[in-house]
Amino acid sequence: MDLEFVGFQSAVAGLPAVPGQVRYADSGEPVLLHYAPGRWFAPAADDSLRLQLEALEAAGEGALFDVTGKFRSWRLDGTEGRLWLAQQCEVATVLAGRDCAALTLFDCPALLTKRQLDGHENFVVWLASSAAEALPGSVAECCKNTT
Amino acid sequence: MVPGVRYGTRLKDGPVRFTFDGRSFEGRQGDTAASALLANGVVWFGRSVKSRRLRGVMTAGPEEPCALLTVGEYPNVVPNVPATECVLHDGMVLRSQNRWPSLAFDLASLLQWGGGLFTAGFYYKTFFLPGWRTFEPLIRRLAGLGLAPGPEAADSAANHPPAEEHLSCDLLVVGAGPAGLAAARVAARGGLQVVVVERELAIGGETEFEESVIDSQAAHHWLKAAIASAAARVRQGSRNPRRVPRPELGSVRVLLQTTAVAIASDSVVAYREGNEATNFRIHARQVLNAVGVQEQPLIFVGNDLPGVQMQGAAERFAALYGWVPKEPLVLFGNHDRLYASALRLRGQGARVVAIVDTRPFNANSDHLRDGAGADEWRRAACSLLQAVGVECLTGCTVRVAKGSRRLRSVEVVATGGTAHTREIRCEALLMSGGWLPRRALPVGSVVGAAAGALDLAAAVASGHAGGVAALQQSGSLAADAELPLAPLATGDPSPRAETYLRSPCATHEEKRQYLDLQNDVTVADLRVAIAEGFTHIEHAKRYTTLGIGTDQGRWGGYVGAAILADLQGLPSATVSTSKDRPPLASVSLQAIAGWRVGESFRLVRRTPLHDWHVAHGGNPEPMGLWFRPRFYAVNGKDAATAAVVEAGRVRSSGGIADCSTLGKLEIAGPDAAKFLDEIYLSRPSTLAVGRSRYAVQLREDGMVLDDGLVLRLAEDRFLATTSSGHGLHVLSHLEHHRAHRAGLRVSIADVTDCWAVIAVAGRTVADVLQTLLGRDPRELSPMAFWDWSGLVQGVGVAGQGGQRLRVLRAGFSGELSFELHCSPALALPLWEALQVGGLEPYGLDALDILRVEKGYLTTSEITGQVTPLDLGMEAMVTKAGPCIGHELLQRPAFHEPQRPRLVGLRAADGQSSFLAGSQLTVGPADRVPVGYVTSSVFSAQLGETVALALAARDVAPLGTVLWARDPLRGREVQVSVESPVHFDAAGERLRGRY
Repeated sequence: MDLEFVGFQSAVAGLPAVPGQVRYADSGEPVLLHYAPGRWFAPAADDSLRLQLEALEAAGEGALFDVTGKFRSWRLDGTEGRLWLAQQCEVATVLAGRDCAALTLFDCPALLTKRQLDGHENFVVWLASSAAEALPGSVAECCKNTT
Repeated sequence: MVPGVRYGTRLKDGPVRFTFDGRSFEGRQGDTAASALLANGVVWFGRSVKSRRLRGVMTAGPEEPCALLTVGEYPNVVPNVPATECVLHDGMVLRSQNRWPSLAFDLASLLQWGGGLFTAGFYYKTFFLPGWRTFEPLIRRLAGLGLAPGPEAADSAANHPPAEEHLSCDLLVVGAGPAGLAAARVAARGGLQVVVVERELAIGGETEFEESVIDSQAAHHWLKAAIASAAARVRQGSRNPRRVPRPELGSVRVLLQTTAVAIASDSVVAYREGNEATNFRIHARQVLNAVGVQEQPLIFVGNDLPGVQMQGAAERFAALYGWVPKEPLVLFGNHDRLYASALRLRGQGARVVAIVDTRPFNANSDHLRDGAGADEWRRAACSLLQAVGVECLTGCTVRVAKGSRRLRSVEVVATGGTAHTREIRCEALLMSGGWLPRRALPVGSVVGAAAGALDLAAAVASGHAGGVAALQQSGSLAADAELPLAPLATGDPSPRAETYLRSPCATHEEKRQYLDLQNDVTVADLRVAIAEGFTHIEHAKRYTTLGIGTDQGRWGGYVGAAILADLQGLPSATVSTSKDRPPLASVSLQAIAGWRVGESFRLVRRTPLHDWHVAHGGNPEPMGLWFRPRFYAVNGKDAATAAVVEAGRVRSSGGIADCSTLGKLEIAGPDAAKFLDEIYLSRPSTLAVGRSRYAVQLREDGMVLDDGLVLRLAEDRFLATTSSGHGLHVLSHLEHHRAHRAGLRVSIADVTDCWAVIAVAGRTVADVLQTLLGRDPRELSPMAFWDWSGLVQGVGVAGQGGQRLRVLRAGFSGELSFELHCSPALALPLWEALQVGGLEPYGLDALDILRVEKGYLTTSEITGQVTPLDLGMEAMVTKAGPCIGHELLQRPAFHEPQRPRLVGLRAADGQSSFLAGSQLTVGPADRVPVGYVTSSVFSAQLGETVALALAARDVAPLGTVLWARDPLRGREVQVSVESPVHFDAAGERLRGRY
């Protein structure tokens, strides 16, 4: 279940405090993205995180939304992943001083997150589901002469 | 040096074989098409557009107006490639343009014998009888430049769109000449990340061929070394520096063959030509324009003849590609660089026979102003040249260049206007009318020659100062920072020229004084433009086509504007050049189109049922950002036929439609109801949980923004649906007002993609749903809904494992209808289960028929210019509490009798059809419309065309007869004004009463 927590204030105690911060699992997977002021995205939230967010909602800190199906995720590993992203954004700038950001990739609303894997920097991109269907075609078009 | 072998700084070992107009040639690796063909003795490169005059190579850069080639073989061709920019590779196929059947003999060149017939604007004044259309095909065939690629070329490797790359930097330097590099050097030393874009294949600008020195080194080597160390750090950082721009602090990245062409969304758009064609978006904190200068032509009779060339171009060809004219050569200009150039070219084997300098000795030359004795440099240069047999004619001008198909001689006269003339035999004439700043980006500051620092020392100093200023501006310059000193440089004398517009000639000769070599615009054309009243440069430009070619007036634009002023007796300063518009340099259409073509043209959104629609003849088409099926091919050969069948089926039995495109916003929090009351007219706070309501929201000015349903999911949680194209707009509207209500405990989330929606409508649908759910959905009262938990026959279990299903009794068809909101994963099995139950799909066109029959609204009626009062929602307005836009509905203007009113229309004769968009008039001959048809469909149910319209309420009460006029199609139909509800006005079907 994907969850989105939208706070009534821009910061909520107990959640990553600075926009751009990401809470990672021990495996290095991102589990809670503070992608904009007052907004946190929890992909495939486990029970403990869901309970934490429900408790925050019950405490009047914000509202919790079930957004399962809103995004589709893409993993981008290694140099190729960075090359792919460079077609649309300057990764170093977008993620300067932060681990995640909301942006537009290939005209598609997206969340971009760093992912820690074996000490290497990789990425996970969540793209709006309805637009993500068109993405492979766009990527293929734009990468014709680069990959 | 080996005789017969060319030596140039850009040439490499190894031959390159290519063809030009079918003839085989050999060049050298690194050659451009221009340099290789010139070295092979080719004089003609193409013909002009209008008069089809033979043309050679005029410049050595991207501003080349004459030598434009088509590269490749049809259909894989690229037209209008400047031969001066076309780097050769083996097997290249080149063709000249604007000629038939051959370059040497072109049938249309007979047009040039039409002489004065083809003056500026001739096509505006002729071709009226029998009509323009008669001549248009021929003129279009004669006009234009080159051959466009064939449609088959779209997928070819040669037509791959350019890559895109985003870069960020502290400082963007446009131009890698001495000034730009001096700026980049000091800025990088101070810790800035610098990107330098350079349109040429190499850095250094004029130092590539000038005898110039910086800090006691050859200038070109010094500049290379200054940049190399910083640039090396970029390369070390990654496997692919082009793709992975991670410069460390204080670095320079140089992008060659890259031209900054525009500003877009606060970033600089730069385009790289060549094999690694790339569109760069450069996000720079500061921009320095070191774009250099553009050499200006001189205007004399016959200045377009093959053999006439810019002096700077000849220098570049000589130094970079080892080509100099072997024929007798004359240099013509108005500044001292002529002499340095003559000495260099002569040293490279050119047969310089004369220099024609418009300035007499001891005149008010720039050198005299610059310092005593500066004119002595010219005298000394003259002596040197005269000693080797070069004639130096000062105070003289070339009046006429003579020759029919190429230059054979020049006629020289004294600038003072004496009658005495001299003819000098020559086959090459190099001219230079001085330098003017190149067009710069409209951001940042300008340094170097473009800022008036025309000699090398001043240019380098200016660039260095610009780099230091950028450092100071960035705030990263430490007080104790040790920056390098501005380097000391010396080079050629200043090219500041004495103003000289054109050589004297008789009026009838002005039609051979060319200002635009692509479009054959002459001084005579400017005279015609002035006589016709086109005295402003913008008007004259469009009337004469001066500067509208691929060079965009770089060659003759400035001098053309000055002559336009001169012909009117005005000082040059009173007539500016025409407005610069992006792109600043010509780029291929392919570069602009990029990869966003076809389905990738823009973001498209697909529903979870998209693939099913495609597989079953739904042919989804773009509707806004969404792909939606208009109709299903199985129901008819075209949309009109199929839609009637599909709508008829819904009315007679039932059908299903994919409505997943509806925008869906969830609003939650203790203050959600209060917040929505401020947004919607229909007071959602009064809704009970489990019920929904039709809701309309207004803009701040009282106009209708959107409509939809609001469902109360819980005491503190609502779902608002929006029209398909308005989801993000409405979300933005809601967030805007939420942000302005500090302390309100409400949150909003876009859940459009979380839910698929299937509309189920018709008399049989309740039975089908009952079979699936095991419960009669008619138990739901209108506008109520269930959040369904349990087995759905043939689909799965809803309410578990994240699979959700909501059954809402509402619709958009006027039938007993339900909306099934479900998780995307459930959409397909549910859709197929409904089909198994006997319900067939209907598309958007059928939906349109159903809703127009019932008078329901879409964006055709909600135009952004109508109030709820215009749409007949008085009752809703009366009941509404204070909400956004409500107060402004009281404005007197909204109650005037001329305001539009939503009405229904039918043809008065009950048979005629009329289309949406038709104007409504009171009488058949009236020209002032009183409204227009917003939607029109053929209703098989009613056996006639029915429509909705917005018409002025004072002239269109019910029962009125108006005229629906369609001027484009020449149709006029009498229509009667009726209620917007054409079908089942009592709403019996909606209640399930069949």
